[in-house]
Amino acid sequence: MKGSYYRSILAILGACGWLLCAEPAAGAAVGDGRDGRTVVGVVRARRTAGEPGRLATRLAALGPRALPALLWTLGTKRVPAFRLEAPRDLRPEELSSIREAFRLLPVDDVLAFLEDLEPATLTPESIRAALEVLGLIGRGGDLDVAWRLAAPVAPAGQTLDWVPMDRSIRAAFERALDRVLERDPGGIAILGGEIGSMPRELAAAAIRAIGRTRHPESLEVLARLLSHEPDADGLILLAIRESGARVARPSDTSIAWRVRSYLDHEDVLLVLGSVRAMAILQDDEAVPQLAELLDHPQQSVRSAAYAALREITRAVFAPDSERWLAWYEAETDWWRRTAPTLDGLAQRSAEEAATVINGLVAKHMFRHEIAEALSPCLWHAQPDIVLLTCSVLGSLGSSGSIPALSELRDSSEPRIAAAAERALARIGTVAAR
Amino acid sequence: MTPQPMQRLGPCRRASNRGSALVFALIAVIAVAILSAGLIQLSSAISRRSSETADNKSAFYLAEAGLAEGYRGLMTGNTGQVGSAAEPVAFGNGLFWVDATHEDGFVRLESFGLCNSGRAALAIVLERQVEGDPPFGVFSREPLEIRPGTLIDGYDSELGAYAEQADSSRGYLTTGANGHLASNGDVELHGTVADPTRVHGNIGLGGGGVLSSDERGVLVSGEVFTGGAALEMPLVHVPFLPTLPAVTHSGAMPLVIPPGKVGYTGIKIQPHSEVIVQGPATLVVETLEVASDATLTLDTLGGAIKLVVLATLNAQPGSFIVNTTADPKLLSVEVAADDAGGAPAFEFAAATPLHARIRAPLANVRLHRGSELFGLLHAKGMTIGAGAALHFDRALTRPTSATHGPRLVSWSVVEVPAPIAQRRSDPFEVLGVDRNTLPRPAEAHTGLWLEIRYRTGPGQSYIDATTWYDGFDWSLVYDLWHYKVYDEPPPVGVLLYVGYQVPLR
Repeated sequence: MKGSYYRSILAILGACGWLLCAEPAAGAAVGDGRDGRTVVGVVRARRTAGEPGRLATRLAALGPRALPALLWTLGTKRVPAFRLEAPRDLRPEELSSIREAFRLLPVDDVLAFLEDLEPATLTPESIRAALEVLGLIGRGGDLDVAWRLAAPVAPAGQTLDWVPMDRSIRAAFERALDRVLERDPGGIAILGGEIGSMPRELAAAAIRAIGRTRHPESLEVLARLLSHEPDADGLILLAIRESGARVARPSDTSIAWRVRSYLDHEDVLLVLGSVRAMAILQDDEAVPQLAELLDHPQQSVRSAAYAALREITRAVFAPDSERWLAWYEAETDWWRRTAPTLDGLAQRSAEEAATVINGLVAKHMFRHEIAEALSPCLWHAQPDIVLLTCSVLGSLGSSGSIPALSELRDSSEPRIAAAAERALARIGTVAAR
Repeated sequence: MTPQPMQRLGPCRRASNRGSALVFALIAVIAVAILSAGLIQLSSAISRRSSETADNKSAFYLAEAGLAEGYRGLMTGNTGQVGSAAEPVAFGNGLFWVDATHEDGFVRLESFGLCNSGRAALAIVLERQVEGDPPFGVFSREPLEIRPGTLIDGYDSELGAYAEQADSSRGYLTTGANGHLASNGDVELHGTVADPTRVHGNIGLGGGGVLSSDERGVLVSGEVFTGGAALEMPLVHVPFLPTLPAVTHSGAMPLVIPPGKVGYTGIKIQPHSEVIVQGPATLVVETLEVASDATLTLDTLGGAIKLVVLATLNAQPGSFIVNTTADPKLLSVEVAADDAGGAPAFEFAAATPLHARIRAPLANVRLHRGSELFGLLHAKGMTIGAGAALHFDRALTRPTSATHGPRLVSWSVVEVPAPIAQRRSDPFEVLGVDRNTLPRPAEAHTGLWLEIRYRTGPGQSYIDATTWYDGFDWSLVYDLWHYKVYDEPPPVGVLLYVGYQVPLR
């Protein structure tokens, strides 16, 4: 009786010892022993259940030593078996707590940890998790870590370009780029500079990521990439079209010039891509070349050029190249004569300024130049001239006048603020909104 | 001072001057009169001309109003005829009537407008959409074979994504309804207890087709309709485009096909390569092959993409065909090939679900094991591999003015008939009608004839009826096999179109 009593006590003590000391089943995978157990323990703790904020704080309080375990947990999205509990999937709130914990940890420690990771030794889940973390906290300068993590490892005898990439890693890489570039547009130029040295699949993903940004610098970076890698030009033109639709018209004329050079390319797809990009960039100077494309042997190019001409000029003529060229010359002559008369318009009398401004309202060609010349009139001494200028700038629809009009939105004169608001609404681009 | 006698001029001179003022005055009066008459004439001519111009303009607008009324008539189940020369429609200060002529899928509306002295006649030619897509997610003109483990259900993309409408209450993810399928040939449903086939919808058998299914392992949650007439499917319209040479794309950089209309002799996408087609686009290809681990990205964010395949489309196992918006309304895959019993012109084994409307009226289709399609699949004949899933998007067969309305082909000014054009008096007098007894525009339409096959409730027999389109009580319809619309009572009348007004429940 006494013996069995002690045996029971021993059994209970043994069970308690096992419960307290046993490593989680996935302890080895979690990382270095206690970190993994601690993370699992914290995630499982009942006290933090239903309190994501508290769980994130507790995880972050573990410090950098918990990073391997946190990364493993984020990658697998599982909680390993621990003591008497079976393994299970992380709950959404637990997952978001782990993400939040990465944000709460010191950024430099997390980045140093990511930099030290060896992609060849990591599972795809961990690589995806590392890219996700980079997307959460990384800056433009850390993007080299992203492509180093995502780059496939070439087996002996193969070049890196021909190693097929894991699609899920490529998708994670694209997401990481999107998030970093959204947070830090400075990364666009850095990424643009790295594209030449990246594996081709990652370079393609990087080009598209730059095209998705809403920062004017993206156009400049993409235009600079043109012609370096002939097989990438189609994709770069696509990215320019995507980016051009999101950002204000670039003031840098070299961007349009580089894209325009593809209008007489021998590859029909590049010509088509360039025609569409010209329409999106609203490049007035492309009109003569687009008019000549109305005689292109490919119907698809002819119809795309015609659509682009109408979109750029808002003029409606038949698809007859001579007609368009004659009209363009007439418009160019008009502008040559008119441009000098716009100098110093803001200093002229209200009557004189109003006469000149009223004569510009129906113009569409050279509208960007006209809008630029008219912008100083937004600060004319006469409020009526300011109102008129707002109205004309709205009609012209040039994205170049967005900054000046945005400034006027805060005018103390309610009529002027409302007129600026209306003009911005008429311009209607994403940038104006 | 004695007055001086007046100096006298000679008698002859005095005599010649006598009455000359009268002559001048007379001449002046006559001149003024002539001038006045001329001016009056001029003014009256100007006024007459201006009034004629105003009348002609009014007549033109009346003719335009007639065309609009005729078009509305076509859209609301009428012939497009509005009134007639014998009984025109009074409208504003004038009258109009519209003559409609139906021929070979086209309808010509000639509208005549008369207002005071103004006369105008306009004509439009519209193309009728003779047939719509049958309201089934899966439709085969010839035998249809479905292998074990297949799931067919439906959703409505206008109400949200499939995942929002589906649930797992049956132990697997499904909406549990609207997965209608039909065939003009036999339908074979295979399933096992371990790997059951589930059709969450109705099965329609037209043209004498017979349903055969394994005793166990096949679930049909809807009804089976038999004995219907064979259903028809519109043929593929192939746009004429000059083609570019065949391209075989390989390499890590994607090949980008920008928006527009492009034709290719062939496109072959090698493993680990990608081709991006940017919408809005029409891409006509003779052969399209997507190798294993290759990607065809159909970027419909910028607009819809129509992919017309003239010979074969082969998406090999492990290939990726991605519709970026996942909206089947924005991606149409049309196979124009006539494979005449040979290998299927459309083989689909992609690793990713495809969101598209797929039509192959003259070709066989094979969906390989594990394929998943959101949208619609209509073909000459088809085999659906084991474990495939087809989620019918009901929004694709819902009639809209864009899919079922008449399409404008041409507009022109035509000659006003000479007897009417020459008599420029009051149009009511010219036509010999009493303004007060003429009908209003909405009352002057000529109705169409409807031949309909429908049921009034579940388990009921089909009823065949022939009636005025306007007079038919659509609320009686529980479900509908088809309806046909004629300009005159059948069998004399010309068949104008076949359609489905009420989707199957």
